[in-house]
Amino acid sequence: MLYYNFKYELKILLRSRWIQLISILLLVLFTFASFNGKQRIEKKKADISKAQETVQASDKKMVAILDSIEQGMDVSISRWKRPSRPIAIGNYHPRVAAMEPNNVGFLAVGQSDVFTHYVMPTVSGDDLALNYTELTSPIQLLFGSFDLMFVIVYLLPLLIIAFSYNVLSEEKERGSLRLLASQPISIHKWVLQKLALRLFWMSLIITVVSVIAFGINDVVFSISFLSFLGLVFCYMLFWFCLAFAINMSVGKSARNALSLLGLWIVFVLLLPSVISQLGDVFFRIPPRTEMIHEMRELKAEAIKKTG
Amino acid sequence: MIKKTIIKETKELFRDGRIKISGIIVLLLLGVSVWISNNQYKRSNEEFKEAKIEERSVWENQGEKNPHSAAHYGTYVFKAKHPLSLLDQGVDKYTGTSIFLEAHKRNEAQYSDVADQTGLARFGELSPDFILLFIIPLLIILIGYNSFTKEREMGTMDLLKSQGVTFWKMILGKWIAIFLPVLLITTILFVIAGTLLSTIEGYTMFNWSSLGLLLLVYLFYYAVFTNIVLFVSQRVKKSGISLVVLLGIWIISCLAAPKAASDFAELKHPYPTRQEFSSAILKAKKEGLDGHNPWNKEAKRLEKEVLSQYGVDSLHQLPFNFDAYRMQKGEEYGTTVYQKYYTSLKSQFEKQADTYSTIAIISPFLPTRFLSMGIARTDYHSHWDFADAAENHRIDFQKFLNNNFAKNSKYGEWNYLANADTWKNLPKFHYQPLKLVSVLKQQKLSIIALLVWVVLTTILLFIFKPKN
Repeated sequence: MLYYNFKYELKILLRSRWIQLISILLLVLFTFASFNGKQRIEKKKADISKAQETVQASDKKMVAILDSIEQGMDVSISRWKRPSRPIAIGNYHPRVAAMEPNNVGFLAVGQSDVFTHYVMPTVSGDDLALNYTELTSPIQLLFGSFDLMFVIVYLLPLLIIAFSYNVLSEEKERGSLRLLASQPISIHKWVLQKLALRLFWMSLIITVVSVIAFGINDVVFSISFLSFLGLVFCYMLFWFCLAFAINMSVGKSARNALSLLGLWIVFVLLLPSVISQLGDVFFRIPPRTEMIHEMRELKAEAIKKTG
Repeated sequence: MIKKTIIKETKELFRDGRIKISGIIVLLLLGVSVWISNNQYKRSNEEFKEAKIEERSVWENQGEKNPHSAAHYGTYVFKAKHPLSLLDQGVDKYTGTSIFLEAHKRNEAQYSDVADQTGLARFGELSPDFILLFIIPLLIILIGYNSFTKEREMGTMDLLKSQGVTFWKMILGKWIAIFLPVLLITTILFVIAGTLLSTIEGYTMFNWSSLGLLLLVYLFYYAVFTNIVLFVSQRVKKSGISLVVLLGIWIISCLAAPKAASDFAELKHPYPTRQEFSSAILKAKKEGLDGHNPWNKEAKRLEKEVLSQYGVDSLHQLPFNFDAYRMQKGEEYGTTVYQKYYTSLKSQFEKQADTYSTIAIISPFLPTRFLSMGIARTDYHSHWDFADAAENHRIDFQKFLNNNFAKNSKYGEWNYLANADTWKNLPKFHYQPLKLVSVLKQQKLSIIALLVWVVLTTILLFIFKPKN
């Protein structure tokens, strides 16, 4: 029975062009998202190496100046900026402190667009309150990026819903359920089989497109690739389980689709925002204005003490 | 006919359990979100007032001090939340709210909320704009996805036809039946928001015309969605397919298009990194007059110029402190440098904004989002306006201090102390948010895009006869 079921389902899915459609959709989405990710990572790397190059260039000049100072020549730099003073090195020749992007950094933007990925700290100045935020357009931050995690977290469940909302109800509506009822298999097991087969195909497609997505970014067959696949598989399993429960308990196709969509809205849109809001209510970050005030008063005191 | 259709459709809506539940959920979410953002607004308003008073008192009680030391000690200005942020938080979370004003340097607004939060914050917030922009269109889809397909599935379409129904009247009836509940929910929300805001004491920035306009923008947005929903329902055979197509449209216009647009805008018109930006400014500043460095080439030139202008041969003979004068000139040069670089940054932002307007062709969400933020004065334009106002204040602030220094001391007199009352004379910083008219001017393209969406979808809806 399992064999027949498998063959039948495959034929149905291929003929209704579901498998083709989903493969193409996922391929396009994954390629687009990972291409975006690749560009972002490359820009970060280029920014960092550019900063390092400027430091190297300025170091060369500095060494040349040091040489002339050693030979007792006159240099046209004010005394406190001369590199023979260690503090001048700390203030006018800062190093690059960079956070190189991880090799799977293309997967998700997360909070990385809020913060800068390299700084050049100096000895003096207000570095205690160093500004680690990046110069990004806030509209960009508001909309977020089209990264692979967006495709997986938001869009993949919708594809799964479209793929499986009517496995039972369709048979019912077509009238083929009566035929099946005469077969020696329980409805429960049969729906489970159908969904398991869909999960199998989906996983296969996901694996292939993930290999392509990782290939675009030159990282294949690593632990992170496997853990990524594992994570996506678990997430898909969750949505297929939900689809199974809805298929078994609700009746008509349109109702199934609506209930699953309702769940999607709850799990993907509402719950995260409610949790984040609750976090804000219960564990509120003290206002930065208070911090500023305290810092100002301490600074004023320090100035009065030193004169 | 129109009236009968409306009554029939509305009755069906009330009988449908799912729609009742979703309607109640939407109302509940709106209630909670308004309550949350009302609290947030009140709290941040209080924080703002307190911070402003405290900072002023810190500034005024500096005691005897050299004016230039005071300039380096600097002062902070804070951005107040606009009352309409109650309905649309816009980019407020992503922009800083305090700007440090000091000598020689234009600083960016610091301490954005998002930098203090976890990645979860990026999933969106339970705020009224989230419900208004994302959830209510979904509600429209839920109410209307089967308004024609159900007639076909139940076979009542033939009955209607045999009655000699006029096509446009039927559409109009159904349109009003879908739009009415949405109109009701939105209007109630806006009235509540308006009453809440007008009862907050001592508030002058709030006006009803902005609120009314904001309501109008959202109603246009919902009209576009109602048009699309009815159009799809009328062209498609089965309810299921209609639902899937409509959700596809929703996902593309509300979720995918904005994200793709932001990636595209950044790719086409990238911002410099913070380090690049500040080092470019530093380099440009080095090329001109440095107020602190008398050996600078430009400083020497200035010295000669001033000496010949006053007909004296030593800086000591000048009637003012040349050190302070030079510092002011240096400040003025620095200002031009900052102006140049910030103008180029702003033009980059404007190019990005144009990109978003272009992509509005595939998404009615984008023009609505921008218009709504603009009217709520929580958009990027408003932030720029605030930052520019703060910079103008900084320029005046430095001039005030340098003039005091120059007038009351002699050349080389670095140990001069201004008396303790000086600081009170510094004019206070007042920021007036953008006027509604200028907001509308900025959002010209968004207004056009939204209107085009309304007109086009209406034409589409009424031009095609329904399929059987």
